[in-house]
Amino acid sequence: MFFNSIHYLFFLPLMFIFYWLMNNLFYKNLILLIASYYFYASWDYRFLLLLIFSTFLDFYTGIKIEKAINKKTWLWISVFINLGLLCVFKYYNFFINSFEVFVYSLGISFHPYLISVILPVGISFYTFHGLSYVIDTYNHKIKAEKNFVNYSLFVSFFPLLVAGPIERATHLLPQIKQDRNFNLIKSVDGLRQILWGLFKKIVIADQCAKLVNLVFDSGTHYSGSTNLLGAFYFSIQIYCDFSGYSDIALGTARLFGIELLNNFSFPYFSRDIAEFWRRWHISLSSWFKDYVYIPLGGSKGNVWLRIRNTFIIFLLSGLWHGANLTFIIWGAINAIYILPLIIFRSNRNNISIVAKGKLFPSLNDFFKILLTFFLTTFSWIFFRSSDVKFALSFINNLFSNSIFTKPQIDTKLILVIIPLFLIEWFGRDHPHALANLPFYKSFFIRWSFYLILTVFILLYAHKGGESQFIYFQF
Amino acid sequence: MHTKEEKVSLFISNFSLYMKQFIFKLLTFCLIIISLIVFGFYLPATPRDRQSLLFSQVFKDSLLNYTPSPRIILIGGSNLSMGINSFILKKDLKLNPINTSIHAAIGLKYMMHHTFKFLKKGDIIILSPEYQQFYGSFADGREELLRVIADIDKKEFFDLQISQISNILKYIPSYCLSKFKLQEYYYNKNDLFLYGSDGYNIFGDYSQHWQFMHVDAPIDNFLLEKYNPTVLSEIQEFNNELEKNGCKLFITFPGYQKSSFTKHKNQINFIYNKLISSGTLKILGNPLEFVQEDSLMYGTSYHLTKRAIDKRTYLFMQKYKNFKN
Repeated sequence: MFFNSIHYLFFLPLMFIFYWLMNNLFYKNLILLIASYYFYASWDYRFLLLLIFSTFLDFYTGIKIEKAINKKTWLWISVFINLGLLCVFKYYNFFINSFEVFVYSLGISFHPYLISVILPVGISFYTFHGLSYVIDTYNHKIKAEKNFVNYSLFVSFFPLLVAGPIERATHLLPQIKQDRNFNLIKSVDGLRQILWGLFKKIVIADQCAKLVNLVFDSGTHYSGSTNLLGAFYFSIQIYCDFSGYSDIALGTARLFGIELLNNFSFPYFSRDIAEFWRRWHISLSSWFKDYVYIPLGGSKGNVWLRIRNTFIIFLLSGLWHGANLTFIIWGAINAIYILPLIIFRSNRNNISIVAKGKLFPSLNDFFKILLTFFLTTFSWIFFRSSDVKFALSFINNLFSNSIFTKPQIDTKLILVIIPLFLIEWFGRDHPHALANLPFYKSFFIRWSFYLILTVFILLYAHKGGESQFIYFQF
Repeated sequence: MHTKEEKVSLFISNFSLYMKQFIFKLLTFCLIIISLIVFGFYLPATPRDRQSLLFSQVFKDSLLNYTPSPRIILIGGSNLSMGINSFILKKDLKLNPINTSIHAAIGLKYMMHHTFKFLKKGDIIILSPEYQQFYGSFADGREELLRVIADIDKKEFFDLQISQISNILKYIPSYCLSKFKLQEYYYNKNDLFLYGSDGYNIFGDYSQHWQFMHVDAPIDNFLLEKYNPTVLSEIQEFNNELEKNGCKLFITFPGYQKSSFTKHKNQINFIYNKLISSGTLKILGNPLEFVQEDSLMYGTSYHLTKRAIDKRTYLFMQKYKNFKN
């Protein structure tokens, strides 16, 4: 069941009604849990067992870590099994194939056993949920949860189950355990955020996808200018697709009185790569920061240690996205981008919101934003390419004379992308773009704006089909 | 200070007040959207729609109404509209051709049911379905079916099967709201030059592109869809009804692009074997015989250049004559 499907259009209001009809916290949580399992089973009911197993494992080890003497053993059991499952489903074939190539280069023939199983939806996300809980319990940041329904809901809450945000037990579990009251303002804002998420996904991302697929899936015979436009469209597509998903997830959760972690904070208005990574997929970046980067020493220590730690988290981040060399290179490129900032300790130069309280950015900020956008767009080429060879020939073509020719794909889409950026620019002071736009004071203009967005969504809804969100594959 | 009971009752009254406000706002918003959709649905077809290929249904219906017997009626998607030369049929077979075909995505079920209403005793019906019609729910029609019915004759909605309605439901909001798009009223007529409603000759063949050379066509992809057995049952039922009304049905095959045929050979042969094994249907030739070189295609795997159109027409006539003899 996709967020942009007709199925979900019926599922969400039904759950909303059932949920708020309950006046007992246990039943509210139970309804959300059943809804979440139904939501997950609609993808593939067989993997529901894997999700329940993973949930039970972390629930049980959490209790053991709190009570048992050999806490470390239980922690490692959980980490080993969680990562083991992730490796089997996601990375086994990649590593075994890489090993085969390596062994073959030494002149040894080796025919490994490959498994043919589809990747369970959301495994990377719920594994990281579970791991954060177990590690936080071990570090005494949170007490072990004794109620299985509460804990299961923390792992499986349907808005975040298949593509995040990657929640922390310290943030979500207390909300699950506390009775929730209906809040009109938050619910209306939740609907607004869902509307914006759907707009970004259906009107922008899905339309960009058609052109991106054309450029990236049909060889390298396009001109440099077409490749450049294709890469630009992919930057927009992946942002609108993933942040659109996150907006729908956060908005949905708010309808049930739950606040999820913000996952995007207008990353394309970043003035350097460090700022970009504080604003892009925030829940994953902060997960790696808290559970890998800081335990490794973080930015303390000498230069070489900082370089090592930076590379480790970016390479892991790349690998987290998928078992393909292209993702690892994408991670490495971003590590290289951020290195000068880490070395010269200027990675926290741009903390505040760009041009706060002003209508336009300064020229200096504007060029910094453009440069950061260009750098990220360049790295996305590897992220989107099917293999490294394709990415290299794509880039080679990009820097040819044909960059000065007319692009061979539609350029009209830019006319829709410009208003997107304008709205995001005016909403950048808030948790999401539609939270409080300058023209909201007029009821008529506000509702007209919502209606226009809805009409656009309905106009384009069937054109991309019920297309999957990019991050579902991770 | 409120007592516990007072707090509970205050909470309940606040809750119901806020919830009422929320639901009221939401329903009002939905009502506005639904009103726009309903209003759009009843607005007449836009100028752009009237110029589109799909609007040629009006012309085709008039051909069905006024063409005298003896008649040969062609039913199919664009493999027929952009794949047959009715001048040759008329000259050689001494029959009055009516090419009813417009677009494959209208769905084979609708094509058969709609044409049936206009048939006269003695009519010869040639059915040439695209191979996709036998896979998935393609034969139930897509957005094109909705546009044909909603723009031309809304009463036809009542003749549709449930499977057809469920297939086109999702296109309704987009179709209705498209009536408010400025591009539907102010558009560049050259955009429709090649696929407009006025591109047909007097028999209903699409002839606007006959003067043009080959255009590369992408290879089809319907491998992921499942074979739909109800389509064959519908064809058999159509055949029975025609026989009862003194008409004859023949089935032939599209002039399909060679590389698409190679890719879907097994699926196409599967369809052919199913048609043959039905025992009651009159089949003209086989899919392989009608396959056309890629260099003879015009933009899609079913649209032919003039050279291929004539080649296919002669082959079809030869098969038809052989069958009759």
